[in-house]
Amino acid sequence: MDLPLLSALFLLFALTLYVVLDGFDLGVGVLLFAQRDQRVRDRMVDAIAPTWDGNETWLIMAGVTLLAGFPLAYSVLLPAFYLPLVAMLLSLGLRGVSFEFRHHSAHWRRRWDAVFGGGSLVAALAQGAIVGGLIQGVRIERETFAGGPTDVFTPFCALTGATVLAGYATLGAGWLRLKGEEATRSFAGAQLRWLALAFLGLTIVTSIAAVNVQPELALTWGRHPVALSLLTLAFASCAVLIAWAARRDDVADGVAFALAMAMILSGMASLGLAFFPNVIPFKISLWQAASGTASHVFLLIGVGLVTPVVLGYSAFAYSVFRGKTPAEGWEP
Amino acid sequence: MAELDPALLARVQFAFTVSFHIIFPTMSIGLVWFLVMVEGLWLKTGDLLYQQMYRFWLNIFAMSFAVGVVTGIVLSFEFGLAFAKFSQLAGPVIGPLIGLEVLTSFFLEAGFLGIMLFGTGRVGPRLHFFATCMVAVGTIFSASWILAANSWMQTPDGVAWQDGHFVVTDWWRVVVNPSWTVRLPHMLLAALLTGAFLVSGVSAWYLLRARETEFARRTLSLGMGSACVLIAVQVFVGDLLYGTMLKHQPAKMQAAEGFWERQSASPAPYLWIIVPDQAQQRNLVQLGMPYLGSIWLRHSLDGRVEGLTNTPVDRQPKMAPVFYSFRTMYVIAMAMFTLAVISLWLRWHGRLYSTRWFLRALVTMAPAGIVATLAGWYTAEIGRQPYVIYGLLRTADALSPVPAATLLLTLVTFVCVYTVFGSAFLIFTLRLIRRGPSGLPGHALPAGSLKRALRPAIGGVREYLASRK
Amino acid sequence: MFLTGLAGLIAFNVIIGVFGLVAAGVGLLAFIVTALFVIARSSRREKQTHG
Repeated sequence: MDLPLLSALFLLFALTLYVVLDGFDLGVGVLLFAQRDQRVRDRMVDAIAPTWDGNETWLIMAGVTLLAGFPLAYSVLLPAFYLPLVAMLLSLGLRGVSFEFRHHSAHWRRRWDAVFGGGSLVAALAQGAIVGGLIQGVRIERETFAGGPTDVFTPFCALTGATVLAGYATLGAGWLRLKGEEATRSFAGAQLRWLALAFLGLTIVTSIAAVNVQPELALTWGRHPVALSLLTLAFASCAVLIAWAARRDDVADGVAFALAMAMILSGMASLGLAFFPNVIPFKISLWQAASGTASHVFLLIGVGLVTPVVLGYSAFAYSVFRGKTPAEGWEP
Repeated sequence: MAELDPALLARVQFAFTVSFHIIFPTMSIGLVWFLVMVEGLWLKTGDLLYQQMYRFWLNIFAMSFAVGVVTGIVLSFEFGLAFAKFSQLAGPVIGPLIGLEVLTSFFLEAGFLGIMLFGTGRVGPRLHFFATCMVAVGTIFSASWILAANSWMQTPDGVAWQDGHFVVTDWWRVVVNPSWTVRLPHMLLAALLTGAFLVSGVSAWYLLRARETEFARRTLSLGMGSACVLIAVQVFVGDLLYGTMLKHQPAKMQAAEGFWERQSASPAPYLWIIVPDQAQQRNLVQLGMPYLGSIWLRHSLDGRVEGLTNTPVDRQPKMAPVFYSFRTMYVIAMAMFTLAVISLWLRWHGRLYSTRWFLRALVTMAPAGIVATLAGWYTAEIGRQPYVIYGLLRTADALSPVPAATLLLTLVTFVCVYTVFGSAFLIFTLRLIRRGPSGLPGHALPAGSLKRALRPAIGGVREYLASRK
Repeated sequence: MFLTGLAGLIAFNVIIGVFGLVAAGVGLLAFIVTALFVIARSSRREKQTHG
């Protein structure tokens, strides 16, 4: 265990927190498109209302950790994913603004819902495309990105985009099943069944395509056969369980969400195993990209002191809003 | 097909996004400290008017804060998008600084903002005040870290260059670099002044229409009272900063004063209007007030001012933008000072709330802090060119390997989307102001999200629109 | 009274120009103290007239 590895672990931690927390927010946003009833749409948005914006801070934390700890990776990966990143940043921003303005009037609400949903959709697709781009690999020459801005517009990245979208939607549906009152809950159940299986199916297709696109991935199987087999098994069985439990009333409402989270986490773990020890996958290790010791020390001291406090507050915030989202929404 | 310059496009894109962004934290810092003052006064006196003032300005603060957050996220990635080479080299230095900004400020603000916005019914008044204070403290930490990072770019220290990388040798000197200790108070004062003139301008608007009189009088009094103290300190700090930058970045101050010659004429005028020709290294037109250049800049009756030709041509910033940004900031500061003095006179004679031309001036000056802050930042950033890290890395060498066409595409997209943000913010804030504090709904709504701060205002707007039918 | 503002402005700039930062600092401090005094006096007056 050395400093760059510690920073890399924190980077993974921040990124995972972001994906899990904002994943269901984006998922719920996307699901708005599938819901015709305005009142249920209101309830769906209310279900993510109390807790959604602290999540974005973890995205900044991940980005800045990359900048501070692995500046070479930051300077190569960000230009490499220039267009999806800009699309993601702007759609997250539009989502934020439309979230507030959808309440402005009943007449405009449908349009703001479309912006909210569209922003969530684009953000999810962009993040998925970036995952695909990481797997594909980026062209590097002499420590600089040497490819073009359209490198990431490949069928494979479209596939990963769709996969991540399906994953977020599943997670979002799981959240709605947990938090929603009757109408939202049954809507979520109906979506969960096919979403979980779609997520599973897309992941299988993506995994097969990935090995074709990135031959190095085959080596990963060789390196961690047991771990990856277990993760794959867990992933698949969670999907099947979600589909089975989706509409049943004798299963607790939170089960689907927990299982969907397990799916996302096992997916991230698999990617982590595939990429480790590289921070620019398959090309540059985290040690090669690391900044000097002084930078890691400074950052990690701050991290060590402050992260427990941050986690404490976040847990508190979620606990304040535990239980079902009130049917009449948050207004008095 | 015209040749697009990627360096210029990268700079324009970053300049646009950072300019738009800085408007909102500047307002937020000013407003949140005003809220601290007002809530403290409410707790101390129990006067409900203070509570009304708190709730009214809270709505506007929350919106400003939200837009600041959204546009700030963009910036943390834009270093890499537009200036990848800079990120690679400077990442080890500014990365940890911004990382600590996220940890000690962003999370702190996010943590307590929920209570601040919606906790009135759920926590006691003291804990609520504590939450307001915590958010305010968070904004100070935020300014502190980001100014440390930017000041390091202006007056770098504490690093060594090893094998083509910056390595930090002394974190204390990185953070407490020669300009940070003066630039931090300068920026904080700018933000507080922005808040003071904003609240004063809005109050003056109400008084001119004989609306919300109690609210407006009290807010105006607090706003202009603060402004008097703040502008005095700010002018002092500003002059101190001038001396600091003269020492560490002479090229910037040479450009700011508008002289080209190695040594200006004696006695030197203070220039107000110039049409500089950078290629010919001279002014085509030059208008100024005689003698004042020597007096103000050299503290003597015949002193000469150093011109930009003292700096080699390939290290000169562009004079026109630096000169005019600096003059703009300076003029606004002087206008603020004048209004502060006048406000004291009017107070003494009991005519502060009734002198109409003064109130109209305040309304005009409501956004003055924002304009001055932007002007000051343009002086700072354009004056640092052609360097991105002064003396160490040129902007032209710090770019991303992204083609110009892509940069243009995203620049246009940013402008379009930010226009939506900006318009929405303006429309909504103006509606809130037009409705006034009397139109506020009964109590705060229970939801923990930052941006849901808009909900009370939206609910009120709906009620208002419904009542108009 | 507009002239007061202008006069103050000019005076301030002359001080800062001719005598430098220290004198200006002293002048500004005096200004702040005056401001606080005036504000305190006017708020006492407000309380008297408005209750």
